[in-house]
Amino acid sequence: MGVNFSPIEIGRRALRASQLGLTVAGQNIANVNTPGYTRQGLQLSATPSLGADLKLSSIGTGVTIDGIRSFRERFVESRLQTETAIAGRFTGLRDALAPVDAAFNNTNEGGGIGASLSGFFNAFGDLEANPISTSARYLIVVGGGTLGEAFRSTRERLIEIRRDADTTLLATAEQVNGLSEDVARLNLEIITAENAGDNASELRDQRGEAVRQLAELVGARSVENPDGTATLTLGDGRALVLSDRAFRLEAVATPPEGLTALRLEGTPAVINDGRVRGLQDAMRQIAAQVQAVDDFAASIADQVNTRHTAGIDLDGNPGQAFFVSTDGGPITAANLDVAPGIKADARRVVASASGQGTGDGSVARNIASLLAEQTSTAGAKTGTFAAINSSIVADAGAGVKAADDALATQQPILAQVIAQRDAASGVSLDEEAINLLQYQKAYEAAARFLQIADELTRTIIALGQ
Amino acid sequence: MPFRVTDGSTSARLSSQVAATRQRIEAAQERVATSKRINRPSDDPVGTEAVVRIRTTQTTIDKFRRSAGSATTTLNTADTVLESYQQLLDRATTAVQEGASGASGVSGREALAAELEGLRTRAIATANTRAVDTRYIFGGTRQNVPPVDPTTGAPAAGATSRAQLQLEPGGSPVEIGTIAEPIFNSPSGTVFDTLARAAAALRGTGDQAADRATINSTLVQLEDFSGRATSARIQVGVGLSRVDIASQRLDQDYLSLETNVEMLEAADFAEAATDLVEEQRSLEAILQASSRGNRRTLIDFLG
Repeated sequence: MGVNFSPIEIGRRALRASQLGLTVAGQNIANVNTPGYTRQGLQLSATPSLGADLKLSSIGTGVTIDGIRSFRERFVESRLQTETAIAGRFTGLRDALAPVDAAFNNTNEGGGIGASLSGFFNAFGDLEANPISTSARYLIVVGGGTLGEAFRSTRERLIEIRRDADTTLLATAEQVNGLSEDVARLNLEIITAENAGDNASELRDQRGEAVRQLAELVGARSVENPDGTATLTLGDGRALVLSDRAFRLEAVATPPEGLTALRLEGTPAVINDGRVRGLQDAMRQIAAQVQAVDDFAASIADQVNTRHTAGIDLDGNPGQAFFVSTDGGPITAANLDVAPGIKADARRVVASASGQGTGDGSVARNIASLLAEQTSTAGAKTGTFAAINSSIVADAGAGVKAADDALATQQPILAQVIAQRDAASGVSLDEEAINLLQYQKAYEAAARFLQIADELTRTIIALGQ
Repeated sequence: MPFRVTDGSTSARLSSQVAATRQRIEAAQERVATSKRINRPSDDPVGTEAVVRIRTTQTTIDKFRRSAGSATTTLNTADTVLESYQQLLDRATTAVQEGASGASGVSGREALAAELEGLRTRAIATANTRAVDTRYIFGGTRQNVPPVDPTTGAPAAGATSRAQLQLEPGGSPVEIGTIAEPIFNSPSGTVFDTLARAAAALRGTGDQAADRATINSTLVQLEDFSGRATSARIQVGVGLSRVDIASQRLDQDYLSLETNVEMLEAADFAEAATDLVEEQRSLEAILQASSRGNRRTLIDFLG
């Protein structure tokens, strides 16, 4: 055996390794609740023997710290991004559409387009039973006004819901830009740290968390490059983050209603997943519902006016259009109202056919029957006005339910992937406790070994005195 | 189930289980509180579509029921008025017969003539009777003028026809009520002219033979007018019967629809209450199990 410095070096290395092991375990324990944290482990290997001049069997020279390993599985991380993006889309869709239920809640008596529709057309039915009644005419005028108001308030409610979704979209775009800049900065910091030989696991965790949030918000996909940077792309493959550069999503107000369109470097951003896509889908669905309500109002006005102008009023005058638009444009749910002349004089309401006496109620009957006439149309919908109304309500409910169901289906999938990620990368306090015990005992043993090596050295030195 | 269970995954699973259970509790509470399983369109879009449609149909049936009620009132009034009119005609016949018998003297015939003129005035008022909704009962579709001239009793100008009313959803309109012309007019003239001529004949026009012929023909005409009144009452009766039959069908339809809506919309209270209790128990069990299972780690046992 040579000079007894070798055991001391072995002891020193063992102490260092145990110390670092304790530190790593402590780091894991400290971050047990940190979102996106990847547990770390010490990688050790035995240091090889000094050389062939030793006559005895090769004896190693202690332990080498190879590095600190992060238990990160790329496949699981990638899948987590995918499922988070899908969940984000359905969450955005569900949250944006949920208020639509209240806008169309006609299942209870009173309120909403359905009740007003029945009230209006049935009032014409009451007029048929007494065609010369002025009070029945007054109720028709009131009913027409109520119907117009119901259309306006329902439409306005939908517009407001869409506006809220648009505001959320705008805020989300800003959030995305902030996160993109964070990822770009972290890319640079990771390269810098790793090129300097430092452990960048925490930086990678921060970047991973930012990437996960971007996946949830815009369905961004990340690809790790050989240099350690991550490239983030949107649905059409265009880069959101490239190395240390982040590309901003610009929110542009588009005519005619000033709704937000997202652009990336001047061209429309294609977003296929994430909350933003969910919000965009919700806004498209709400726009379709607004169109359906507009078409419905226009159809009602058209059919009622056609029949109303074919008859005579209480004074024998030819009937005028019952519904008009308040702004002079085509009739929609926004501007449907009773004609001013009829509002001013309820006697202008028509009940009788031209050429008949005022005791004839055939026109009133024809108008009342619109509620149950099978051949009415409103946009793409056909059927009775009652059926068209119930179809519009059901479609709105179906949209909300579909979003709910999709999210309910996706949530267990996401939970399972999160659990998988946690299984690979999460911290178990029990495991870390075992690691603490393990490294503590190793530290104690290494310290004892050093003490013995020191005594041996003193003994040898004492021999020479 | 992942092979490696961490504190984070355990907490996440617990949170999601508690959240899901609370959502189910909230849903069950709502069903119990409202007794409905459809509280918003998204609860059951297909059911919502049916419920909305049925409710609309029910309001329409209510409308027809109101119409039927209004028609019944008008027809009952018409029947009462016609009955009174027939009594008037009977009295007129008696008066003419009395005057023709020769038992009354000049003053007696004068009194009978005056009575006939009074009956004529009442007959005109009868023809122009308004219902409680201000319509002329015998006006038909011509409502802008009285059915007969208030002075002369001449039929009003302009065509008229019996008013029509739709009694049921999807049903064809049926003629309801009567008009004045068939009741108060005949080929020999109006009943008012008949009574006027009879009054003049009883007073004496100076031509006894003509007066006797007038009185004889008056009796025949009054019998004819009485028959016309009877026909009108039969028409009214038929109308009442049709309205009544339609009303019964409407009531049955309404009840049937209400049953359908109940089946679609109503929650089974016992089931909802049971669900609520079960979910609350489930939540308690999850919370208890988690409080027992997750309290300690190995760190707590190390010295």
